[in-house]
Parts: sequence; structure tokens; C-alpha cells
Amino acid sequence: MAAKALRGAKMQPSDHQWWPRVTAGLKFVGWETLIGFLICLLAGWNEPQLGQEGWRDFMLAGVVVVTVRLSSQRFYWLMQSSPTTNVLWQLPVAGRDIVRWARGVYFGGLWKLLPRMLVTSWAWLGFPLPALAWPQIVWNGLLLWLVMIACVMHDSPFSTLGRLIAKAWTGALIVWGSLLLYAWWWEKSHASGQPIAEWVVALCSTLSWLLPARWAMHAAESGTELALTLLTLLSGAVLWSVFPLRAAITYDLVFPEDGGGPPDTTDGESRAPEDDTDDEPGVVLPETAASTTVDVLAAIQQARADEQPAHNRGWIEKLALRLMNDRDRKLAAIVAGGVAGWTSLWWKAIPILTLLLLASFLIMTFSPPWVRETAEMWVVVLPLSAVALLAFPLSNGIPYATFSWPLGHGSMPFFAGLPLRIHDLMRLSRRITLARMTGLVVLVLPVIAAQALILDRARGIPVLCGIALSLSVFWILIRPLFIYYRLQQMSSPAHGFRFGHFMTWWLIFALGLGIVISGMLCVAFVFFSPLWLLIAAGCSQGIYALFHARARSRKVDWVVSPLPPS
Amino acid sequence: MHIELSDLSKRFGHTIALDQVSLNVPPSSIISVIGENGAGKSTLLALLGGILAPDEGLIRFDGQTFSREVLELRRRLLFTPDTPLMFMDRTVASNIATLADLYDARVENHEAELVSLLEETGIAALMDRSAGSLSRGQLWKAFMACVCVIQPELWLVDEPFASGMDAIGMGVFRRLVRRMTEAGATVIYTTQMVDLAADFSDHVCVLRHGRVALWETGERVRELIAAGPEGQENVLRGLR
Repeated sequence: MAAKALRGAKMQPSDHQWWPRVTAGLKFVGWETLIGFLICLLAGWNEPQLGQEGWRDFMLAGVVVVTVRLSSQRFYWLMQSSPTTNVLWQLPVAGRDIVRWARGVYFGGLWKLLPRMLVTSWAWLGFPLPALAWPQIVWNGLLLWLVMIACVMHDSPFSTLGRLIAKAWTGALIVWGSLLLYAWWWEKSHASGQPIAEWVVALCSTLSWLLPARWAMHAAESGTELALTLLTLLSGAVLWSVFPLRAAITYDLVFPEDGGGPPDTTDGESRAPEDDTDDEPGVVLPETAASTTVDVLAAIQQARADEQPAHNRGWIEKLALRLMNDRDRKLAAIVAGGVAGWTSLWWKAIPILTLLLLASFLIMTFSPPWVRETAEMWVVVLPLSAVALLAFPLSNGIPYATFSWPLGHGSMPFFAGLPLRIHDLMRLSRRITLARMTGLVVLVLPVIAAQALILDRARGIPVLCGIALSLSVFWILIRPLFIYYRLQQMSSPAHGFRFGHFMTWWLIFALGLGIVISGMLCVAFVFFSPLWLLIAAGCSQGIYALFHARARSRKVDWVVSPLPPS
Repeated sequence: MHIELSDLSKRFGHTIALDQVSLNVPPSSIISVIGENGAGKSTLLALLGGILAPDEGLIRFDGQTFSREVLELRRRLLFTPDTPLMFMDRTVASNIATLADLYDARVENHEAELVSLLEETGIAALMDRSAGSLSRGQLWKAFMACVCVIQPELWLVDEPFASGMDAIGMGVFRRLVRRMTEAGATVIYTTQMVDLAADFSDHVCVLRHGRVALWETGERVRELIAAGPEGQENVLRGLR
């Protein structure tokens, strides 16, 4: 059984084996279909102007690099953080054997990436009829797949060259992502069929040389690219074969083969004390005992005062607190982590936005027409991205409530062990979101107005500001949905029906339908927005209310993985 | 607080963790829950603390059905898993203040007892240390200071005797629990140590395969242990 475990096999057969496999299979097919569809769109399946060679080379090579990154994350997770390796590292097992085990499990799952490589290959060849071109599609797809596997080792933190390669690919991926936005903007603002700018194609062509997948696809045409491809494959194979030895050297220092185990970090006496003056911090010397009463209470009062530093609280934090009652303010100080720093980020956005808008104005006023045409998209995207990064309330704002706490062999959300109701959390999060969204609106409306003036579209300012306000209100109204999603991640249904899965799919359907309808009504969007907001609020509140009702009816276990009986 | 468990059952998939457990826990008492590995001790505690929801049966506190979303009931109990719930990036002093605020407890009301506990355990000198930098035993000692301030009506403690506390800490724990029960609180704790449970509880509940195999006073369990060389094993098997 242990030998089976080392090969990655399950040690215990589970009941009802076929149903989980069917659902996993359906999920896999669904995801790969979606990914394949997106790959085809990237390669210009429905937009011929995106089918130019340089563009296609870079976009599809970027797909392979993204796959490499995600795949290597899985490999390093298997090696370092998976539940099995967490146990194995504590046992008297050589590090290289554990790494070999992780490598074996990783290789066993690589077949799942083959379908998307085949689709990438098909897209790269220009969407030929599969019935006629299948040998070339399959051959290229296999080559891409092997190059992808080899690149996982090249994109490695274990060597200087690996780190350089990782940085280069990260830079290329940033440009890749930006060009996706560019393509979307180009399609919206230009007539159908108009080819993208030549300099973009040239840039793509140049950058694609950084990515091994491009060499693989052109290996048949060029000796240089053939040589580079072979070098990639050969070096990847060598690196994979020696990886257990190289990586294990690091781990074996901490986890020696004789089973010494990691140092005991639970024993305070074995840790370097912060204060070196006390050899035994647990002993109170007689001469200090007299002042202990005053010190202890003073320390507690000081700690309480430190949690609410009024001078550090910015206007957004003050607004959030003003929206709360006394109990909520007390809870916010506990679960929102004290001083949040929202206002300081808001203040940082102002000079950045000022510079971006000033640069936009200068470019749009004084530069030649071909520069203005290209810069138009960035005039819109960059300032709004800055606002989003610095002021957008993406999180629920209550980090301390929902982080995991160990409970037996599983974990529970921290708040579950405290007298905190889920309705308390929802209320806090909504008020925090309202305050933060106010800060965002104060920034984004002037930015939109300035952008419209710079782009000579002043007549659109009321509509654009209306849409921004509408979206801001939408984000506040759907906060219960995010709270529900976070809570259902940290809980399990007490018995029977998988409420979370059902609601997640219903949610995807409802929101998808809402987005489609909104898209179809985009011209009259602003005028229909109150109805849209009402529907969104109803859906969001309804899903949360259902979950809340289940929790109140004691149908929810607040454990992430159910406890075995003990 | 009067605690009543009626036909409490809990399953995890096909595994029955608790099966039709019914108990009437008298108020102001120390209850130890013992049993073999996998008997359902921690599951019972998690149900009482509202972490898990029963598949069948009811938990009533003072006649009212318990749900963790009912704040008035939830605030009267304190659930302590095998790692005490504390804010690891805050100091010991901040944790005491925070947990006191959460339970609407006033530190000043328990000043003398708190100071004595902190001095006795040595945590007084660690008030400015973050909870995350403490050892496991020190964390438990710091948490006892929080309990001293909160003074819950029901304290549910999972494996306090496996907490890593030294003899001083364990002595402080026992005295704290005794004082709490004398003031009217109920303390329910789990342990694997039969003799310890018998010495330090008013009633012992033995769980076996998810059912109550034995419900006796601590004194009676001590007699059963002393009855023969396999006394402790017999207690775990529910044999009288």
C-alpha cells in the first residue's frame, strides 16, 4: 500500500467511484472546450485581421507560456505543499524520493494538457480541415506539449539562468496581456476586417522569439529554430532527470535522511527569545512583582488604544465607521484588522492619475495622428487601471474573520469559534464596501470627465459618468454574493444536498444571463440600469439569504474538510 | 447553564461519529468526555460549540434550542479547539482586550484574578509579545487569561491536558476551572487520560463508537479504575 502511495495511487478505494469521475470528466471537458474556444479567438478564428503571422506566433506562444506557468505551479505545489508531501517531509524519507514521487504524480497528470496543445497547433496552422491535416496537427501538438513540459524546468527558481528566463517570460506575458486589451479595443473602434497596425505585428514577431513554442512551430522551416527547439527539449529532459537530486539538496539539509525531522518550533525555549535579558521569560523576578498590576492593566488599555489610532484613520475609514453602529465598530476593529490603509492608497492615486492625465493630454494634443490613434486606448485604460488597482474594493474587507484555523484534521473559519454571526460579517462588509466605493467614485468621475475632454468626447460625459455610478452601485449591491461565496468556501453542507455547488452554477447562469441582456441593451443601458440593478441586488441578496437561512437552521458545518470522528 | 442533548447524531459520509447521544448536563459542573480514538469526543464538542450542525437531535441551553447564529446563546459559551483561538499577529495584551470586547466582558471586573493568573503563569512578562511568537504552552497560558476575563457560562475545551502546558500551567488551569464552576459555570473538556478525567471532573462521559457507554460521577469512575489492573480499559469500554 505504501508503494502504491509513492506512485501516487490512492491508498483506500472510495465508495461511489463512478459518479465523482463522471462529474470530474464533465468538468474537464467543459473547461478544455472553453479554453480551446478562447485560443481560437486569440488566433483570429473570427477576426481575420488577427490571423497575421507575427500576431499569431506571439499570442499562441504566450498561451503555451501561460500553460507552463500554471503547470509549474502545480508541480511545485505537489513537491512542497500538497497534503501528502506535508506528511512525507516529516517522515524519514530521502528528499530526492519525495521529489521523484512528486515528479511522477505531475507527469501522470500531464495528458490533461494535450488537448489544448492540439487546439493551439490547429490554430497555429491556420485552422485547416482536421480531416485533411490531422497528422500535422497531432505532430505539432505533441511537439508543443513536449516543449511545454521542458519549459517547466527552464522556468525554474533553482538556477540563475532559470530566474533570468522567468523574468524574460514574465515581461513577455505582460506585453501579451496588454496586447489582448489592444485587440479588444481595436475590434471595437475600427471597421471589421481592418488589419491591426504594422508596428504591433512587428513587435509581436520580435517578442515571440523569446518564447520556445514559437521555435517549435517554425522548426520545420528554419535550421535555427530547429536547433533551438532541440536544445530546449534536450536540456529540459536533462533537467527533469537531475531535478530530484538538485532540489533535494536544499530539502535534505532541513529533513535529513536519518529522520531527524525539522526543528521543534512549538517549544518556546528552543526559539531565540526576542528579549535576551530574560533567560527564562516565564519567571517573574520578585522586585518587579510590585509593579505588575499597574503594568498588566496598562498594557491591556494601551493595546486597546493602539487598535483605534484616531490620527491614523483616513476619511474613508472614518466614513466606514460612521456608517456603523457601536457594535459594528467594535467588530470592525477586530475582523477588519484595525487601520486598513484605504485612504493612504486613495491619496497615492491622486498624483499618479494627475501624471497619467497630463501625459495623455500632451500626447493627444501635440503628437502626430498615428501616435494619437494608438495612444487612444492607453489614455482610457491606464488611468482607469490605476484607479482600480489603488481604490477598488475587491475584497470583503474582513480578512480576520475568514482565515483558516486548525481544527482536528481539518480547519474552520476563524469567526466560527467566536460569537460572530454571518449576518454581522455581511453587514460589516457591505458598509466597508460602501465607504470604499465612495472613495472610488470621487476619483473615477473626474478621471472619466478628463479623459472624455482629452479625447474630444465631452458630450458623452453624462452617459459615461452614469454608467460608472451604475456599476459602482452594482458592486455594492452584489456584496452579499461575495460574502456567500467566501462563506461557502469555508463550510460544508451538514448533510445531503451540495447547496454550494448548486448555487454556484445557478449564480453563474443568472449573472451570465444578466450580462448578456445588459450587453444587448447597451445603447439604452443607462436608462434600463435601475431595473438591472434591482435584478442584480435581488439575485445577490436572495442567494445570501438562502445560505443564511440554512446556517440558522443548523444545516451548515463550519469546517473546510469534515472532521473524522475523534 | 442547563445543557440538554437529545438524540444527537452526526455522520461524515458513511462514518457515524455520534449516534443518538442523549445527556442532561447539570449546571455548575466539570464534565470530562473520554473515549477511545475515534469515539466522537471532539465531534461532540464541536456540535456543542456550533461549529458542526447535528444531523439529528437537538442541543438545548436553558431550554432554548442552540444555533450559533443566535447571538444571545452563542455569547454565553466559549469554544476552545486544540489550538486556542487567538489573533496571532496581535500581542497578548491586545488579544485579552479584543476577546473581552467580543464577549462584552470588562477587564476591570476581574482585575485581581487576571493579574494573579498572569503572574503565576509568567505571561505577565510577555504581554507585549505577539501571540504568534509564543510556544504552544505559553499560548494556552495566555488564552487562560482571556478566559479569566470572559468568564463564559459554558467553556468547551478540547484536550487541555495535551496543551503543552507545564505543571504550573496545568495547576492554574484546574484552579481556574474550579473557580468558574463555583461561580456557576459549566466546563466540558475532552481528554484521553482516564485517571486524570476521574480525578478532575464531577461527571465523566465515556463515548464508545459514537454512543454514551458510561455516564458516572468522578468518584464512581475512580472506584472502577481502582477495581482491577484493567480498570482504565474497562472504563473506556463502558464496563461497570
